[in-house]
Amino acid sequence: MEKTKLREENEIIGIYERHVDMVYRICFSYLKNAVDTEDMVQNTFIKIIEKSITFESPEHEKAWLIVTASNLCKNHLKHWWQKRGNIEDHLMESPDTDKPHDELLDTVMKLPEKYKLVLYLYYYEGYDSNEIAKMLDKPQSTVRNDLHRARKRLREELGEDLDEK
Amino acid sequence: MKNKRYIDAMNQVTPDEEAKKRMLQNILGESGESKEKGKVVKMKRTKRNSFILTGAVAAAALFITLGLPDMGKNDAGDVLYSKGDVEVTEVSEVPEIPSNPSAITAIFNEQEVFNMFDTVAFMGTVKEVVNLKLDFDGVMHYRAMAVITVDKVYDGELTVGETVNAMLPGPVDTGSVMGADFNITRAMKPGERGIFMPIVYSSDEVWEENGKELKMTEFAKYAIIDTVRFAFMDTDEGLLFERNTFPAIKDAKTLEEVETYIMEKVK
Repeated sequence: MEKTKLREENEIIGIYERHVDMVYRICFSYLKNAVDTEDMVQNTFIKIIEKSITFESPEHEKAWLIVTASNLCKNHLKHWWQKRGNIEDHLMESPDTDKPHDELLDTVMKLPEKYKLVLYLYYYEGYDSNEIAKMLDKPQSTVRNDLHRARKRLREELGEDLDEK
Repeated sequence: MKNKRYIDAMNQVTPDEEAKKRMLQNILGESGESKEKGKVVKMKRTKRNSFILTGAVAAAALFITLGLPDMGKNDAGDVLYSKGDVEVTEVSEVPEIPSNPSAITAIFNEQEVFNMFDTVAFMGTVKEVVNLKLDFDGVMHYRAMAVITVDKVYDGELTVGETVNAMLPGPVDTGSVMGADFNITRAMKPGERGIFMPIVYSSDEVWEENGKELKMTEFAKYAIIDTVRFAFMDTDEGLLFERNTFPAIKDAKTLEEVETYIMEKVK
């Protein structure tokens, strides 16, 4: 029994070390503060344990984490009020300033969430629109449209195109 | 197609070693705990030292979704959903909820309304609204479901003539229930026109309460997530929406003025 537990822990540690930075970036792009981001990063990896997930391949592992982290963050944003037990806990809390400062990063953070995720998957992880569509269970045309709109917004804000050298 | 500038920018968003260690310890700690106790893993929360919401916001949020003990006498109607100790029942009356009229002011600003969530936007006509009791094995919440016919689509994969089921953040007015703060969703009545911006529930959206789970997509595809900012209603009392949140149309008198603004914002 102990051996099984140890093996599971080692597997979790391996998955965590491979992907924690990616999961953190995805969560931060939704939540924009370190505290909530850490919560959702933890919850993403806890889901693997909770649901006894086994991955078919490294690609499956990565895609599962992207989708799960994204869904948990969206869920968190939509239902944050359900999780707040005591109003007094929040009255003294101040606006968050954890975000690093970079013109592109600041602009990306202000984009709608549906744009932020496709941008990240496309420009950072290098997935193409077909792969993103499959991963997010959306029509490819929607993904292409979201990418187009995201690029347009960035161009308007920054005065330059990400696709240009 | 990877982009170096984008990668450099995003690489600034990385947890430091201490944070990585802390998160891993929490994950593994939770893993051991669940195995020992044989229970469902409870979502972990980091100790908080900051939060984006103001007190008024938190007050409003708490008010909107206050969990109530079972009041017992809620003229139980049709059971619309029942699964795993969660039951959703249509009710014609809901218990009176104590309100703080000054609290419902500023949950989301204009930018957040348009940018924070995966919403659709459409003009529609309310076909039906029903109050609901959600029973999480003894812990009750009250909401409403609006059935809306789509008349015009501004954003999202909807078609004209389609019917949309959207959860509302509180019950609709049955004559003696809510305060004036809930004027937008409270005001929803069959036959009224409005512009709606509900969020789209993702397939794994779950409401957890009292150890029970309600998978939202088994019940509704959309939700209007606060009472005043995601719907613009043309009512007998005039055009109702949260004017302070949308300064550009603060003085709007017609739904068509709102429409022009929304089309500009979502394009």
